[in-house]
Amino acid sequence: MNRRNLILAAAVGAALAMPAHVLAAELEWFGSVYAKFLDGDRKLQGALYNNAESTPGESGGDQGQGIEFELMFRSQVSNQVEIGGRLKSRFNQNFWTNFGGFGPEEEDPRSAQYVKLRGIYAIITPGYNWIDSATIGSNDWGMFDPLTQGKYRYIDRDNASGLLFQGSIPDANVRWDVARVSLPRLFAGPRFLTTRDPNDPALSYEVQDAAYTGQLRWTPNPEFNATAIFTYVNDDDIDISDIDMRDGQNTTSRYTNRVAALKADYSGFNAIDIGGSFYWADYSFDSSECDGNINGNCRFSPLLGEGADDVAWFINLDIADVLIPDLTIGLQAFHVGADFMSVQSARRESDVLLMEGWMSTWGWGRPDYNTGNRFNGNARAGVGYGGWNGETHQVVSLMADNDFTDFDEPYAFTVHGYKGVTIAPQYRLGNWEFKGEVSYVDYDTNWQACGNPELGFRAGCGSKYPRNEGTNSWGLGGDYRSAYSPYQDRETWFYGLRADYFLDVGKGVDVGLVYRFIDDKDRRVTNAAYLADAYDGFPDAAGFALNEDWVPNIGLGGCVRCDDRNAEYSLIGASFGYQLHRDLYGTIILEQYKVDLIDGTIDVAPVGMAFEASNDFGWIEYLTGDHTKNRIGLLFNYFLSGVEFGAAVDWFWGDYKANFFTDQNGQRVRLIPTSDSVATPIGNISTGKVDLEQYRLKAFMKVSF
Amino acid sequence: MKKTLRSIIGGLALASMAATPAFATSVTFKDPVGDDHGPGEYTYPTDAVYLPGSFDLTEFKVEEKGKDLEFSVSVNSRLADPWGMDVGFAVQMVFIFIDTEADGGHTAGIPGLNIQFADDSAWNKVVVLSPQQQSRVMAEARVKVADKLGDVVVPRRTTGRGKTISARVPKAEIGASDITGWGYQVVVQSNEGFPDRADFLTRKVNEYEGQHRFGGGHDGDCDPHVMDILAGSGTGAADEVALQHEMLAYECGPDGESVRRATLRMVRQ
Repeated sequence: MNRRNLILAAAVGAALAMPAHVLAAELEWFGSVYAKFLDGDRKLQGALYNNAESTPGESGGDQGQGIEFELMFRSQVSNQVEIGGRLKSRFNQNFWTNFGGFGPEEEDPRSAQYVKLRGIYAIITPGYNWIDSATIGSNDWGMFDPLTQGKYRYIDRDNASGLLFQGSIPDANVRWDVARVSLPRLFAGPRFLTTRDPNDPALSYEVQDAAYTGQLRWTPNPEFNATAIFTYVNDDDIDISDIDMRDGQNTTSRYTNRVAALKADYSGFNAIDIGGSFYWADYSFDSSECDGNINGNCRFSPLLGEGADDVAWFINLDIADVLIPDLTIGLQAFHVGADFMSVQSARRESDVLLMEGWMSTWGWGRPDYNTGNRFNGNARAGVGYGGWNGETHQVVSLMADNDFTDFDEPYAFTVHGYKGVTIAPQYRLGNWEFKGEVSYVDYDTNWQACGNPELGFRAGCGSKYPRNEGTNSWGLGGDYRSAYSPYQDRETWFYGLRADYFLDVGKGVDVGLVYRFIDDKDRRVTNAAYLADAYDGFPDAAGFALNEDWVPNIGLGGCVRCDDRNAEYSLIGASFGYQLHRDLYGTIILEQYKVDLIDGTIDVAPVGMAFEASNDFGWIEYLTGDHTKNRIGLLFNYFLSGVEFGAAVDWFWGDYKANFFTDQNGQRVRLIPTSDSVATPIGNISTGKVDLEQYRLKAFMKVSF
Repeated sequence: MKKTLRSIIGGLALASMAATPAFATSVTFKDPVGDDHGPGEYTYPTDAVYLPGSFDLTEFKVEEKGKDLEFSVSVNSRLADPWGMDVGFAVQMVFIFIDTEADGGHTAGIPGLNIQFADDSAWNKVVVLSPQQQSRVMAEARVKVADKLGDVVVPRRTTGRGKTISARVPKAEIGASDITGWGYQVVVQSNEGFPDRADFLTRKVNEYEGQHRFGGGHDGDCDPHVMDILAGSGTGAADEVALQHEMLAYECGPDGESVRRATLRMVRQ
């Protein structure tokens, strides 16, 4: 079992499900001591998380050791009042080696091992018929839905406070929840802001920004349940047309977001359960705040640069033991509209799709394939060559969040614009358990110049669709929060088969076998008339020096196939788990990943590419070619009552052999290099094979008291 | 390499099938749908991970599979793994109490369940179906169920598929006699990663439900922390709901102490 997830499960209980046997007003104390050790061969000593990047000045690390302390308290003040909270120290950068902050970093709160009051709440249970409880204070809002008011990720669970009222109408089999959630100041708005100008004290205004959510859950009988949810988000701002404060200050909405959801499940058939959910979202925003440039001030944003409305829906079928005993089949059809905006949707730790999704090992590992430049800050960011090991959390958020994670944790990925179907059978045969998957994904973001080919992508896309990293469908796996490409015509097939077997030898060996294959094709520009717009010499590359050896081939010589992207990902693996001692369980994992990638010809780079190709700061790399990555992983879990130890160790090794293509007579043809490098928009790429390696370790101890 | 792998997999599959007799002995009990409310008024936690029917026991089956016994517990909801436990389910935890012998056994329950068993229903073994690792569960058992540790059986691997949680244990760990002659009681609870100090990985029931707490009970430890059980003859008949309420009836004192403990009886074929 994934150690992080065990911690999650445990911590959920720690924060929210603690013992409640105290009837008098005595204060109950409990908590945990958590120590973490990181080691690796990247030799980075940023935060004590492998991936920490979104806070200015912070970076991840693969070295160090830290310990933190969490003291939780709770009191049943009376039959009608309960209060609780936490005192928590942080170890973001307070490695044992800097003596807990005594040194040059003492003034830095990330190093000072300070203790922070967190998670304060009061629950009022007045005993009235019309209301069960009112919760005032911190909450993770997990009682709603991932696409409306999503559950906050675990480490953010105490950062969101608000009001929650809950009740029921027993005679009608109805439960209701109403909440007001204060918006996070840092990111929950266009341009990752919740005010127009946070640097102007006269204009910055964030304190009244909030999301309001109401939910009705109806369960008329055990076979049927239905839920209706409505969320309204308002970013309240200073009305700059009213600068006379003597009669009070007028405010106006900077943006609003409304999301309505209807969900239902029926299990009254013998062998088939059916469920579905439908979401409608409306988003209103004054687009004049954006400069209209595809790489302008709204390029990095978790929301569109213009108002829009769209829908998302999911239909689930679960079929059990119909044709063959012990065979169950899960089916899901899904559609997430490209313009579906729900600012409060879950950012990770929720998975809205049945399919496994993208391989997290290629999740923007930032190994710097092309140059190996340690001085490129983005090459030092991320988790390195190995990527993430955890499952992929498919979320409907342009804020898919992998900040403050380690390599053994899940990887969040936005599925904006995904539409398709998944069939996932499971079958048991003796000591064997099989799980399969076939998924087909088409994209609501398949368009030419964002649906306005006559305007070209600069005017056609404008600043409506945030590019963020701009690596959607580029490189190995694309980026987890870049949902939009100006030109896209893409479809993807996912295949998977897992087999688990209990080998009855000794104490029993847990054998796992896995094979996965992903076939991802993107025709990008589909009409020769648009090629010159898409590939016009990359003038958007202001701010860094375009490769001076590269000669732009504007319009790719009319070759429509020359920008096509064909990517084939495969994984074959085996794992063996064994109870080494009554308290110690160990697993060895052997995996081989391969990618066969053609990302267009040597004249192709992401449409609209700007500074991201810079060797000093960029993250776009030339990756056409053959990739092989091998992994040996070791996992250990050691339990005693009240304490858990865990360790994950990985060794990766592999290579990348670049291939090159060019256009000839309107066709894409293989280019045979005549020198040791080939000029591309992204740099002069070596024709030689690149060897890559990574070693990494994470170990932890968690004591609960 | 691929041919070798196919041969190994094929051989193992044949071996596993060959180990399963054509006519295996089994015992099956049904339970009414919609009685997942303990003694009558219990409600689910309010977090969205607790899907309706998650703790609603619908069927229990034990079957001889070679030298093993396979236990299967079905609930009225498709299983989900929102906490990433990697075994196909996450929020449930099931205790299967078995009366294998005519005499002797335990009438006290497991810490955290707040139940006891009638004298004629003493249990000899309890099989714990948990999504947590066997070693984690056993580490807790060694401290919290120390006086009955030899009678606590945690399967090597417990998995969920569809609506059914299942696991195998060697029959020798339970008993040598005929499984059709045993008494069974199945208690559906919830997997708690951070239990109360004395509780065996169980989730609390309080007076008011919370995000991760059951409601409808008492804030003291006098109420049974149990959502659903087998009752009557285990046929799923409607009157088994009332029999469940009767077994789980309890009484609390003014300070939350137990005056009358919920008392369970075995269900027999």
